[in-house]
Amino acid sequence: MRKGFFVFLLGLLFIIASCGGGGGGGGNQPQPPQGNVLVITSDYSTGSYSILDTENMSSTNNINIIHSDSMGRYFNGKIYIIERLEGDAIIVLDQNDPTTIVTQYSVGNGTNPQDINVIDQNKAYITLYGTNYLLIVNPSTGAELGRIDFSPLADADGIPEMCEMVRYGDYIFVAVQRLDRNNWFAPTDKSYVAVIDTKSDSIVNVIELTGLNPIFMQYNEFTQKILVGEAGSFFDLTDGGIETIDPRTFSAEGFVITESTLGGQISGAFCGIAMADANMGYIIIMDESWNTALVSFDLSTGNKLADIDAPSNGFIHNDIIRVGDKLLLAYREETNPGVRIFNINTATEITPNPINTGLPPITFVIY
Amino acid sequence: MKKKHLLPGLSLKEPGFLMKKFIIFFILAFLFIPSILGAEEVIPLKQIQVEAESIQQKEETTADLSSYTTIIYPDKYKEKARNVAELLSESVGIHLRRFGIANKGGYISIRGSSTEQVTVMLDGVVLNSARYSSVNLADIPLDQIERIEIYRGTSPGKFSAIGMGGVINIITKKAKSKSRGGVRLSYGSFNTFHLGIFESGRIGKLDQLISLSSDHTDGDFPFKDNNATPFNPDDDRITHRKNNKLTSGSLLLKLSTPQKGGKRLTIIEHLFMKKEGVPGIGSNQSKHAYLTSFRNLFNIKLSNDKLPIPRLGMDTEFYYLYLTEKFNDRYGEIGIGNQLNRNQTDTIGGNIIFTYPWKNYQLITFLMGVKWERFKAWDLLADEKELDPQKRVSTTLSFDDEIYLMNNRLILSPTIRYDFYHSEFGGITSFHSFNTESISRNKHTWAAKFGARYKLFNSFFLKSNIGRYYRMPSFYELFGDRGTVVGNPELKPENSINSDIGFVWEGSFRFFKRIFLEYALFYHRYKDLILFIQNSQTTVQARNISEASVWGYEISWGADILNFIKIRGNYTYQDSEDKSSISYWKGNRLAGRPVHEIFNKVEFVWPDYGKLFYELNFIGDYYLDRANFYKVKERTIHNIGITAWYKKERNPTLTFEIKNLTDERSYDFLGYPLPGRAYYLTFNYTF
Repeated sequence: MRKGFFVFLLGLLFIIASCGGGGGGGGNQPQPPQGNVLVITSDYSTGSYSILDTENMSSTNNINIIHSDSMGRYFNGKIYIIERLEGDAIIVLDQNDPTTIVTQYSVGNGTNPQDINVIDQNKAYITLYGTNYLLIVNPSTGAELGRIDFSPLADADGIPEMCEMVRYGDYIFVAVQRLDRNNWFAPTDKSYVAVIDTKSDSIVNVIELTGLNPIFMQYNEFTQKILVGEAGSFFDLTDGGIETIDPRTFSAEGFVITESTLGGQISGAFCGIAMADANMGYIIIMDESWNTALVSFDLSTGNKLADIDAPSNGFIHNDIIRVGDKLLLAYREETNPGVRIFNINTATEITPNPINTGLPPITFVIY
Repeated sequence: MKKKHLLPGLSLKEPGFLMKKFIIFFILAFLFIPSILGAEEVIPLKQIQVEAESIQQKEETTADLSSYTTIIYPDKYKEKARNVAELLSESVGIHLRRFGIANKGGYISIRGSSTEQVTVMLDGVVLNSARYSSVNLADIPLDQIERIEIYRGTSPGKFSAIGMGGVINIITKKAKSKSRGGVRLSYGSFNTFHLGIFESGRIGKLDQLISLSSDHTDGDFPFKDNNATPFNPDDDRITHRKNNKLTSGSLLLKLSTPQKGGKRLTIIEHLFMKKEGVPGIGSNQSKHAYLTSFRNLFNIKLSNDKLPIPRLGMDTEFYYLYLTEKFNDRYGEIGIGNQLNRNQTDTIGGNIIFTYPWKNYQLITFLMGVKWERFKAWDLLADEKELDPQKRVSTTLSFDDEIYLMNNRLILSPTIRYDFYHSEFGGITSFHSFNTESISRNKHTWAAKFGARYKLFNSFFLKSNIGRYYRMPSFYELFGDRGTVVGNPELKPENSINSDIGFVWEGSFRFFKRIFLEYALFYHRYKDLILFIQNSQTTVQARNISEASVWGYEISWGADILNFIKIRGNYTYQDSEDKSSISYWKGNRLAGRPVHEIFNKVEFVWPDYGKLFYELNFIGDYYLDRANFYKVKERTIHNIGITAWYKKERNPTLTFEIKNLTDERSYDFLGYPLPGRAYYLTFNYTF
């Protein structure tokens, strides 16, 4: 294999197996988000971030260079940028001045961090896609405080593929994909959500999912349930769906909507879900020709409601997030990429043109 | 209307039909226009070309009289520790990009082209495979090479392939009747070792040559590891490159019949093998991943000047090229899961080249070529291990003319070429893929060039060229791989319009025994460039989505002052611009293309004892990425050395040199550090 293609593949193919980056979080935060939007951008060779002004529909772009495969979270006045495969680091920004990098620390070379969940100023959990342990660190300094062994949950290749996390009370729910690394990350027999007790730093429950390959998790504040997007195989448009988990009973409740009814594949790397209310929400799906579309759905009926932005040529819709009554879409069409804004209740587009974010947007952080 | 087929694969309605009519018209026009212009009967002049190392004019024949060509004779560098890539990087218009230590990879760009757009030929056989278009020049042993020709921005019609950026034609040592041989031994930093031996002479009725070459390096140079946290210098450390060993060996065998009765038969067998560690990026070095390669080139050439048609010459060649690579990353250290892959490419081809002096003022060359290529891959960790093979058949028709006018002062060199490609893929691109149908595609394309060379006065030549060139999409771009790269069979060839103009002059003046100066202004406009674009969360796809332009100028100089001082150097200026419609790249400089690059070498010679030499290589700043965020600052590399030799024969020689004297550290690719200062001792003896 030519080395040039190594470099190229590392730059573009980190996404073959990873987690979504939209929404997430949940739990209690003494300093909740103020509704500001940080947009992480990338052309998959270079990464950066921008600050979006949704009122004036403008953006301050290319603020700092970050790893080309990054996603972000907000906790307690700090923005955490997770630099994933080959970045293997966390960047900390202050909510009041996100243009200045407070600190950057490595979480271990080759570990491929996917998500962070900050309990308080002294403790955070970080999922590592390339290891069989969950890392516990000081979120401000990166100093390692401990590890939680996830090897009992791994498949035959020994790596469980830990992914997104959601906090509910004193518990952290961790998506465990269990993909076969010897077979291009194909799903194996089971996937789980592991429950961590934050007081004892131990696994207290393992929930077996109905489907396979959980790529995103999001706390639905309307129903107090956790929504889990289970993609199954990325090449089977019918084997996945969205399942709910009751965080109070640690139980999986089955699919509330399937890929079959949505009409396409639940997409992987950065596609989360955005809920307008307890039942109506939005998601990005993909068809067999790799065309993506933004669609709405109703969880109460388990049906797709409408195509909001029709399938386009190639992978254009990357991530969505809710900010107040607005739905933000990371739109990556090559000649005119940017952030598009819709009214989340009516699905009507507000932006006349995508808001330019410098490099194309990949995901959002609300802070 | 019933379609009428004139030639295989075409009908009146198809675009290729008009192209073929144009080609035939073009050929006929150039056969008869010179006589209309009153061309005189003159004996075609052998190409006078300026050798890169020597400024003395030599009557050497190259494949294109009007093109700006650099010729390198590796024997003139035998006292130094160099490989092919390093040697080429010292030439004007050339930029070398490396992944680390010199032995481990050298990819060449010519006049701002991509590395895939440079065609590399070894003894007339194209090394660029249909699977991967780039060629690693570090895999060609320097000791076995007689001559390297670099055609900058043009592709001679006498060759069986073209390159959008240009062509590098590597010719191995000839088998000669006169007995000769040599040995070169080098040792240096990072446990770098080289041994080259060759011997040539007459055996019975045949001329033979045997050459062996072997290389090894530990590649464990120190570098600063920022731990992938550029905003946190507190965790930076000095470490060493790990898992960076390379061991390679090569064997060249040649048998030739003596030139007799206008005929000569040459058989070439060329083997190359290597095993190298693949360390990955500096902040996350792999401990175990490695790559093994094996290449076998078998070539038979027959030249015949005594055909039934007087003065008609014919060269025929047949070749078989076998290349296999195995990549072992069982522990998934390089970042894309666990891998154990084997790739194999088989290429069989042949060319017939006719040359004929038409009416004594034209030298016509007509080339017909056919090539069959097959790529196979095995995923040795998967349940279904073998992929369907990917195949390509290509046919080439090329017409090249040299027209001598004005008593040989003016030489025109038009070329036109037609290529037909049939590519097919058996079916399943990936067991994941939705598409399980077999795919095949036909493509017709053409290339053309018009060049001129005019002798203004003694040893002063004006030269200019304009041409259209293309690059066919590779198998990788057309058909993808087992899952992450989705194929795009509808890809069009990349294409470019290249042009240049300038002059070449050499002479002498007072104590300057020889002076040489060459200047070339060039402009390349690229269209339908292929880039990989993410088309889903898990896949990427190649698309004709980009455009670019590169303009610049090249200046080369040389001087021999008395008998004691030699100066050689060059300066390349190139201004590249991304002209694609991709909004976040448009207007940027192309990645990996420095605006300024200078090379200059000075030698102080004591004829009876040896020489001191100093080399300077200045590379201006450039961007590593298309977004122009990552900038590599300018750097200057200084090399110095001293060579001692025995008496006036200058044989044997012993050289001590320091490369990168000031220990400059940099990157050509993000995450792949380049080595700093290194020391080498080289012994060379010829007999």
